[in-house]
Amino acid sequence: MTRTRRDIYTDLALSVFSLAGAALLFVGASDLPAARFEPLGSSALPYALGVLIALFAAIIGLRALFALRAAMPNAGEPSELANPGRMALVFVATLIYVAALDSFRAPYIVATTLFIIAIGATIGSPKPRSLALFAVLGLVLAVAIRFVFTRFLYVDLG
Amino acid sequence: MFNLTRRRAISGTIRAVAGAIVSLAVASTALTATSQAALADDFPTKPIKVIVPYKPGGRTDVVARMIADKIQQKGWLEQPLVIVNADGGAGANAFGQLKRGGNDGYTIMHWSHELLLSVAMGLGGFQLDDFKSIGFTGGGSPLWAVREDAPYKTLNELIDHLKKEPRSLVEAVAIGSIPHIVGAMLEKSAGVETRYVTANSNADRLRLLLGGNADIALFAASEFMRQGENLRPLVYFGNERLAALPDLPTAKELGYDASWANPNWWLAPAGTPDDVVKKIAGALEKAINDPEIAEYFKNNTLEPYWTGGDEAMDQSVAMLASLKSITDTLK
Amino acid sequence: MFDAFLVVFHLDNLLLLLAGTAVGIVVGAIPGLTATMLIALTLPMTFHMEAVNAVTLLIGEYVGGISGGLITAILLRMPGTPSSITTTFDGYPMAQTGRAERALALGIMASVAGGIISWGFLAGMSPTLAHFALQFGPWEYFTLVLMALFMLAALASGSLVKGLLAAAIGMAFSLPGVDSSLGSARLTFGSDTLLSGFGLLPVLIGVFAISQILREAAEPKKEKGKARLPDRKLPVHWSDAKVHGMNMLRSSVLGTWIGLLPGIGGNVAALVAYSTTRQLSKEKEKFGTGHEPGVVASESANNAAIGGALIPLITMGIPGSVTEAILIGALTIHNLQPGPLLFQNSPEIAYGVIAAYAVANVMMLILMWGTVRYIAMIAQIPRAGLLGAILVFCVIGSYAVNNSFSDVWIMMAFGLVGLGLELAKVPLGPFVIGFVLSPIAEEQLRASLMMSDGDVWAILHRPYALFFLAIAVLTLFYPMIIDLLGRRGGKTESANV
Repeated sequence: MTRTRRDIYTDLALSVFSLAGAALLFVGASDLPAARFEPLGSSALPYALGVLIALFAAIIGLRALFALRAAMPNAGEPSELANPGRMALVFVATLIYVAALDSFRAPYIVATTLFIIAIGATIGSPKPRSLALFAVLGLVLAVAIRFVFTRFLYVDLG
Repeated sequence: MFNLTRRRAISGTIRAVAGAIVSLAVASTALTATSQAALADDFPTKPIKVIVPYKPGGRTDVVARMIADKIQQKGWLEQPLVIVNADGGAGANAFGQLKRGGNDGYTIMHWSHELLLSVAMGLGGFQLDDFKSIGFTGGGSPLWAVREDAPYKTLNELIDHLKKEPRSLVEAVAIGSIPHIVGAMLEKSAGVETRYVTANSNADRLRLLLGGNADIALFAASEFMRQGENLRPLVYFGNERLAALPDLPTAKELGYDASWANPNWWLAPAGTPDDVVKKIAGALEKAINDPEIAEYFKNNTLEPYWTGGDEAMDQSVAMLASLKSITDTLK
Repeated sequence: MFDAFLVVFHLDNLLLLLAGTAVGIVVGAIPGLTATMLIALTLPMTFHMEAVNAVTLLIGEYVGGISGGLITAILLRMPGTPSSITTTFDGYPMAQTGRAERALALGIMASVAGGIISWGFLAGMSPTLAHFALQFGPWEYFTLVLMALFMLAALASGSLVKGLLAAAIGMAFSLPGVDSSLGSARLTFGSDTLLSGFGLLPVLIGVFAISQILREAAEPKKEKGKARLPDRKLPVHWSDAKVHGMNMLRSSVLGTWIGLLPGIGGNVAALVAYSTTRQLSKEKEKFGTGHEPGVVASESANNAAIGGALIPLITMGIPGSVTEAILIGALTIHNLQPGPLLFQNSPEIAYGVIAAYAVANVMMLILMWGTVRYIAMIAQIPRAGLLGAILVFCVIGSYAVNNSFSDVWIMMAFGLVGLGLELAKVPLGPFVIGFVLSPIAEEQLRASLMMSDGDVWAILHRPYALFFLAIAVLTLFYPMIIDLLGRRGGKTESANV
């Protein structure tokens, strides 16, 4: 079975990331205290996992490299993600939402309402009518959550 | 026609929603502004957050809630104390919350001498001078127990056994935790050694001991009182004997240098104004002297007492030094 | 004793139980909000209640919360609670092929069966079971978890190397934090945030919910052909009792036993039951593609685990998990002493817990059965609003567990991790299993070696541990053995699916 180039590049990326992770495990494990109360100590498992991850990553990476020669071009094959841009927007919107609550201590109801509107506009439609709907949904949701969490559950939301 | 009204209604909705958002934003900024203006004279003008570095339900949490409840009920502070649980990271999470709250007295912490252990072990990223001590509201000590069918009836018999056969008994502890350190103090003083088995909670210690996978385990006295069936206490780590177990000797009485009077310690971030701390301390002192609280403490083998902020800090500094003598051998 | 039992049937307790179960189902169903969080957060409310009222409310929340998780696991591939992870494996594929109601109905039936069967153990033989479980020491825990790990290794679908890599990566992510065997920091790279490690909840919410939302966001806008409700009756028949009865019974018993062991909870129970059922099945390859027994095994076991965990709780005051530890907190606040003396000193609490557990299961059945047709419509809510709302719940849910924004950031990061793994076709099952099980396995192995002074052969004195080890090894070679037996023309053990 020949694989598409996209598959192979994904595998190569996976391999590189995993190797980096394995390296991180080795670095982190190298300054752990020596085993004292039992023979394994803190560092045995990190080292073992580092070796295993590096091994599996190497296998996947090498296979990908060999397959590169026999690979079919990507012609016409649809990507698994039809719209990666929208996905990125949703993620960034969520990051901004969390940062607003965490670092800037934005008022919960305002931040949540705006966030629901933003997500709605991104995934759904940006028409004024649906935006109004999302605003109502966001406001109701935010007020309800804030009411339940602060009033009954004693979790303080800004 | 229909469309038109509908559109108008919708644009009305948008305007209403936008208006609501704006007014909420304005209201909340206004609120922050006034609260920052609040000074110590009329402290507190808003609820005081009390951070507890554990999940709800444990001793530190329950004591904080009892005392907060009592203070609110009697009106000893103008505003309620609100408990916030922030478990995780040897107190790192709770300390982060404390710093985040600022040092205006509206964010304080209720912990115990476990704090010293985090400092001694180098965990959590804080030192004693990151805190301002408000005071101790009582505390309680643990005890060592063995199974009832164990051959030793007293601590001295157990130690003799360990001297004859070194490392022949298994102690259920989590390394670097209070059970480990307190046990190690006693063992160091008696010149004996045990083997360990990891037990991360009171429940783990109990199940390992009862199931025969460990021979010795440490329990808070209150835990022993309710779960101690089939167990025999050997030694109490308090400074004086426990009223509920009058026959149980203390380690000090038996001539060992080991004690752990784990206090309920109230803390504020360093730099909190003195008069604010004094006001909170006043309310706490009244609460711990309340008969209902004293009754609860007695039922749970805790001792109700009040130790002021500076003295509490001095005692803690001394305790930290003796902890470090043990934890330094772990590194 | 009977009077104590009847306490639960006072109106106030019944209402609290109903409220608790209903709230539990809703919270359990919302990805990001979990039963444990709900119970931890409602504990302060119970401070001012009567002890019996407090306990019935919390038990209702517990049962409802674990059961509700199946809804979103099946409909959206986002487990509402960690216990329902395995339900997504077959539940979501079923929903995608138009069998959503069938999956929900089977899940509910299995949940109730699990609840009732484990209730039988709880009511009938608590003390015996509790004492048996006590004998389990570190060797037994280690081998038991090892057995589960090996069984689950078989879950890896697709590339074997990728499955193994997934498990190793999952294990690696469980490393940072305070090393529980040594009390010192490990792989935190000097960060105080990492001292708490990567919490189970933020990681699971990130890997399952966030990454799923991101992938849905990338899908074309046109409405997919959503699963419609074919008719008004729920597609469950008496004949299902025959088809799935054995599986329900086995998974429930397994779930009860695993729940019984302190420190191992509903998610492990579901994982073990799922893989056992798969191992015993003649149609292994069907698992993960929408095979009914997968849903049944997972849901009977996770509910049965609650009953199992309540056994050491009420007989010895030993909590099985964080959730039970909080239940104990609810009792101590009321000056009650969970433990052997509970039955003598406050029978209304001890028997109250037992009765409440049974009634909560019945209420869960009524509530979920009655509303399942409306629940199934969740999948038809417009995506834009639904996904936004779920994101909001994920953020508040991972924040509220420890009042910590670090957990929210960890959740976001693991959203990317989950997405990356899925895109690289690395299976999430082994990833989660490695993440959940390896800390237990490592800690218990090191505890065993501490106890035996480094002597590996000490295991020879532990019969149960040897037994588990034997099964673990057998699982590894099971395919070969079956093969051999088959070639000899002998009958293979009948698989009860």
